[in-house]
Amino acid sequence: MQLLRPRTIENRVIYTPIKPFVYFSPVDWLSRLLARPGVEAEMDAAWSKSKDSRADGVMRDIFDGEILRNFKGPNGRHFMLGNGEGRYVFSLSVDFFNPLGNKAAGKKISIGLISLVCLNLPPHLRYRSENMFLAGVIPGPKEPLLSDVNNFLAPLVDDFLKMWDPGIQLSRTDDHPLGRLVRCAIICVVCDLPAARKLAGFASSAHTHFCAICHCSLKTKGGGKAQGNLGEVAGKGTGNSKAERKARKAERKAKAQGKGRTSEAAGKGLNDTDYYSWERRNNLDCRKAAKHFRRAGPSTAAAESIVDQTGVRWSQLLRLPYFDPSRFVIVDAMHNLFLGLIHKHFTGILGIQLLPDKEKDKPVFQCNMSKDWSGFTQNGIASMKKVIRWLEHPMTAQLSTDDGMKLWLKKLSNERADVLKFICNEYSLAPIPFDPRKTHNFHRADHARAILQWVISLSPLRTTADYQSNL
Amino acid sequence: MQQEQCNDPLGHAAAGTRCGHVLTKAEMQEIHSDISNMIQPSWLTSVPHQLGSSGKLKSDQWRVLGTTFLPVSLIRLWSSEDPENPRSVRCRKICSITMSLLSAVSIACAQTTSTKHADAYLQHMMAYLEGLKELFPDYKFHPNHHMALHLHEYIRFYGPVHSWWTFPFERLIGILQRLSTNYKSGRFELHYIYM
Repeated sequence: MQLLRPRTIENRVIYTPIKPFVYFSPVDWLSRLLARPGVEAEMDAAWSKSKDSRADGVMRDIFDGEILRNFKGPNGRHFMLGNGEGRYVFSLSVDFFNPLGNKAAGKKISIGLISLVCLNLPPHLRYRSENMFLAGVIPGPKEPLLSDVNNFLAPLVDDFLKMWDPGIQLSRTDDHPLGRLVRCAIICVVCDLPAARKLAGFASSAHTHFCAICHCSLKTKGGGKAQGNLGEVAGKGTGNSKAERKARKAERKAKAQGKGRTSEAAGKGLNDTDYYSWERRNNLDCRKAAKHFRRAGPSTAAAESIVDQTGVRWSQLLRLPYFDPSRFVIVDAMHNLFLGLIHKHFTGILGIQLLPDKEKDKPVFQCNMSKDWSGFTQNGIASMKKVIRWLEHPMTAQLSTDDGMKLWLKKLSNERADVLKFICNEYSLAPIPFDPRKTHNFHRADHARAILQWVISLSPLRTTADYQSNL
Repeated sequence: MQQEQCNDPLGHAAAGTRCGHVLTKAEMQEIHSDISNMIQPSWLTSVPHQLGSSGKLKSDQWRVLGTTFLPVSLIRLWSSEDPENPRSVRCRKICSITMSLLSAVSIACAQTTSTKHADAYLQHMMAYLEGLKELFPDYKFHPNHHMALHLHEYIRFYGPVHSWWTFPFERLIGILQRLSTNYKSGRFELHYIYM
């Protein structure tokens, strides 16, 4: 694969990377943070503070949640019991955005931001921009597809593997002038829905397996949809017998795993609200499927069939031994509740924007021609369709004013003479010439006038629509 | 007309409460006047007075609208039921599912939380989704509706949402978006990271 491209600088050709990805090590950042006076003490106090506040069952911070209360360190004991070692937890966020601003007319590019927040900092300091760690920027102009984002996570995961076990030895911190061993963990992934799916190696929310947390899927009771997809994918592999065999093997495996599930979780589509009956994913399931996906090799039919069956791809984060993809990837409250539900409820259901109601524009009456008009030329047919559409839609309100009448007369007069004549014949309308003495050689406008007069005479038919449009 | 009745067993069209077109012009004017007449603390995120006609709203504006302004207006407009008027009966029901949603959101976003909070959230959210299904059977649910029910578990896992929602990260993006760049694609990235 080509990673470099030639550039000419001062008549010399040099090779520069096509997509430079700059990455900062969290180790350096953490050592700098711990050197700041007072910060280390505050960070160590986070664990004990939560222990005191938890007594009444009220959760005040992330440390009071179930995950961190039961989070085991590399030695099998609770992570906070470090025997003097520094034990810090982080949340990871990857978010894609358009650096050119979100203007409708602007260029659309998307770059990603990999940032980390040290949760041990007290809440009021945690999110100050000087305390947030920007690990890297995923270069644009497009988001990496599917599991390609893994390539950008690899260095971060390498560092966090080291920081978990054996930990990093800092030569000097604020409280420990003789140095201290520090261990760190990523305990949650905070992203919006699409980015979270990508990052944790799940299929997108439009997939058959739309949920990364439970086994609900869009497939019908007999598993019809998923089976169909699988057949297609396996069929594609005919050129490569090895891949085909692999796909079939994977299919069998996936089936064996999903045997008990298809009957229960099948048909639990998006509309299902029976929360208690949903079957949750678990760490082992996800890791098993991801392992099979990885073993099948990148973009093979076998790998695709695993995604179709389970909705799981592979993620770099799975290399972290403590990472639980079914629980560490949070559902973002901001996107989900505010931009998802509240926004959808008020615009999509209540209609806060008062958008014109499309249903109102339903044909007010059916304009069926008794004679066949398919004999017209292509332009004639297009014109005919246009006129029929106009006639079927409510326009009486506009015709009641002089301006509206003029406008429609002009519009109709611009259509083809044979079309207008045809409609006049159909509804037996006599052309209304501008000069009433005229008896032959009618113009297009004369026919148009007749049609409009006829539309006005039909007005009782059209009142329902007018009533609604005036609301 | 016959066909309409088939598609619309609950009589949305007759009551003027079709999905996506429930609010009328007059009701929107009431909401506008409520927003401009309400005395609000200066730290509250301001929302556009001409709601609906003024562009895209920010996430925080939806939060403020949903938790302060709209419940006041909707309860005022829709809570009294006139059994003679089908629209009023339906609006009353729509109002009550809206309140279920907003209660769920308020509970989820509380500064402190507990297992009880999480359960109350789930109860309200389920009431909302079931009400939605009943009142608007044609409405297609989004993955967000499904994920909203899962949010219940995450409140128990991680405590108050303030430590794990994306607001701070979005703010960081805002800071970076406002930086001036030379618009050379492939170079922004480096520029941002060295700032």
